[in-house]
Amino acid sequence: MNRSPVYIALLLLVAAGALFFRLTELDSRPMHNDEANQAYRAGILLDEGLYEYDPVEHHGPTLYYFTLPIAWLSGKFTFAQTTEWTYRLLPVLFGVGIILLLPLLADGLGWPATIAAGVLTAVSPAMVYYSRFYIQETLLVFFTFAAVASGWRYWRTRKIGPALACGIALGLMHATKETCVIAYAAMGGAILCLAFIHRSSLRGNLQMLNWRHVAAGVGIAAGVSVVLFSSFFTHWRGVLDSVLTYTVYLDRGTGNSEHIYPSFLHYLKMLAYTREGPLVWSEGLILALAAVGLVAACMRKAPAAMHQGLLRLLAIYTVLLTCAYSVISYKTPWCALSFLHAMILLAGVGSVVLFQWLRVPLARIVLCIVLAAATWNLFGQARRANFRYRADVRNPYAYVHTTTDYLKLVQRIHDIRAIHPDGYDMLIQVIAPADEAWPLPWYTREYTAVGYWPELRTADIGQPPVVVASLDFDEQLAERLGEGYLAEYYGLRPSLQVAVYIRRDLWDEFMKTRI
Amino acid sequence: MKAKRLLTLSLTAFVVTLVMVATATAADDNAGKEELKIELPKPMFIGTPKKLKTPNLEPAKKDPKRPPFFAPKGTVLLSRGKPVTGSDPEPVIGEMDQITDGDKEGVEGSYVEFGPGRQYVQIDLQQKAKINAIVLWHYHCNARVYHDVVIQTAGDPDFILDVKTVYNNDHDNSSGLGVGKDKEYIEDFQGRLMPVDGVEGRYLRFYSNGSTADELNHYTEIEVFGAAAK
Repeated sequence: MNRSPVYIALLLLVAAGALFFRLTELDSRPMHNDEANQAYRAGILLDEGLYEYDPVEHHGPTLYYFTLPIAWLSGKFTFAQTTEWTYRLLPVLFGVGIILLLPLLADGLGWPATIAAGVLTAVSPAMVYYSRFYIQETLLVFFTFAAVASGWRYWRTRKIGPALACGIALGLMHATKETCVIAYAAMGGAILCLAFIHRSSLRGNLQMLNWRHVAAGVGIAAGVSVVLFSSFFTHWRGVLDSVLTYTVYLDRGTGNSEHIYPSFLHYLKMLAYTREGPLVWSEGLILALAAVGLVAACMRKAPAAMHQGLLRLLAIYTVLLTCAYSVISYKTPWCALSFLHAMILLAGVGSVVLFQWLRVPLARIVLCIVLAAATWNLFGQARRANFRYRADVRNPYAYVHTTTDYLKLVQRIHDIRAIHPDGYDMLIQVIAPADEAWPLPWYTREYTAVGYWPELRTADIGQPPVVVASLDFDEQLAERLGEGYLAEYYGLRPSLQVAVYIRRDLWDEFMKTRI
Repeated sequence: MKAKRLLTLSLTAFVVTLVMVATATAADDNAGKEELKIELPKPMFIGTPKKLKTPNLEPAKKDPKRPPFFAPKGTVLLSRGKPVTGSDPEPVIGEMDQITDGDKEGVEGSYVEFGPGRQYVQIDLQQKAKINAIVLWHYHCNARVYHDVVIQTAGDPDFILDVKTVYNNDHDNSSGLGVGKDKEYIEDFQGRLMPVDGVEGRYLRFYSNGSTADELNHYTEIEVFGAAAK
């Protein structure tokens, strides 16, 4: 009996659950510095139709271009009209898309492992957290998986369609984030290793390849990349910069950055066990099951309903990818997503292999109960990470995150605007270096008169209604503004605050509304 | 020359008199009082963080060590082991009874975590008492300032009868309990000692509204000192 429709229905159910989970309270987390920055750039594209690739910061163009349809379809035609939903919906859709791509591997992994991988993707705290985070990472994981899955489909069918799909995915990877080269290298390395392992059948396999299909795939990959980096043929410099950028990223990756964690085990420790006060975080279930999957891939005989070649390819790819990201000193938690997803695929295999290894029915029942309980625990962690502790310093995924206290600063600006005769045209002076000014450009997107000065000495300060400033300038600014201002202080990021100065007459007026 | 010596002598006498008067006044102030002995936990950080401010934050003290506090003789710790309830009946971290169990350490397992926004804990002293001092530890693992710290006493558990506010640092009335004039402060291992002028009450509520670190509310320990009301 062909059970595929049942499995597909099951996977759709998992995907629907993942979608619901990812959409819940999507706008409740304060905008992270990086999210605000990316949203601002997408806003320029929305407002002015302008995008030019920046080889130093911000990564590739797919994030911005793919945001446009969501904005238009939701009736948002200017940056000021957009909301957190406009942006975060994009990674949500790609995050769920990662689950929907899984059937492409079902004839190699077997349906039970495919479903298991889908469930783990749906509840992994890191996968859920960054599927609600407006940065490139989830898109990169989606395109990477699309490249692997369509590559596998091509290997199985030898048809031009999957070859072109694989090429498009490879091109989109490049147009998403510079770190795609790590995945390219891991894919290439895995294919070479597998070719070496199966060298006896290499000649036959190569003869079966249609080199025109390969060339078409490579061509379309390059084409997709050129179209996007050239901003649809309007900024050719972007194509050159997409290559030259690697000098910048090489420098950053080898130590010239504030996000340097030289330990090889940094990511693995974070995923295996992180204890922050009484809060314990662990994706150890995925790591342990992936290890079982790895062992299964090393065995001579493939587990039932699985393709040993694909298992080995995934195993080598996962090991290479994990090692590559772990060797690089530049580390941010979201970078772990690429190899975590590869581990999830292996974990799906691992869970089924464990079941197959256990022959006694009672042992199988116990295994199912243990796996279900551990998966429920992952789900609980994901809920914790995405709701109550969404911006908490004890959440390992909320990396240098904007505090929830910052939302009170934003509310205070709105409070003063509500009583100011100029409304959204009220002047707001921001005197802070760039890293302390963000994410204010996002939160003041509806205001028309917001000025930014990185230094106090360059700022021309009169008697503005509101001044937002770095605490570095606090004493001098308090002196310059005099008694006519009240200062409030709000947390921006862990151990970092910013000051808000409110003109006393406006403060007194505001307080009348509070008593 | 003689006049100069006379002037020096007069000034010295004046200063000595001033010191004597001040000492006598202080001694008189503390007459009938004794130093309140407060057991302190281990400090989790040292010094005043430079980049931590709030609208009405008290200025940093030269000597961070709290001076001794003198309370009327017969003042005892009333709150130890007394029942605690709160606005969040099931805290995510910790149990309510930890707030009066005497464990004030700034480590895991010592504090109770409440949800976001305005929250309170309520202690029932199980008898009407004359309150002379309160010491409150929110969370002292790292430097932070809790917003809208308001402490009220009352004669009934619903806070309808004889409600008195003994501390309030909500400068903008964001918690809706009135504008407070008390200062905000940085949490540390010494806790916040709030002198109370013999206010009578059986129930105490301790409000807070998030901190500079996050929107959640934490309570490590509360100690209420006083004597049974006659």
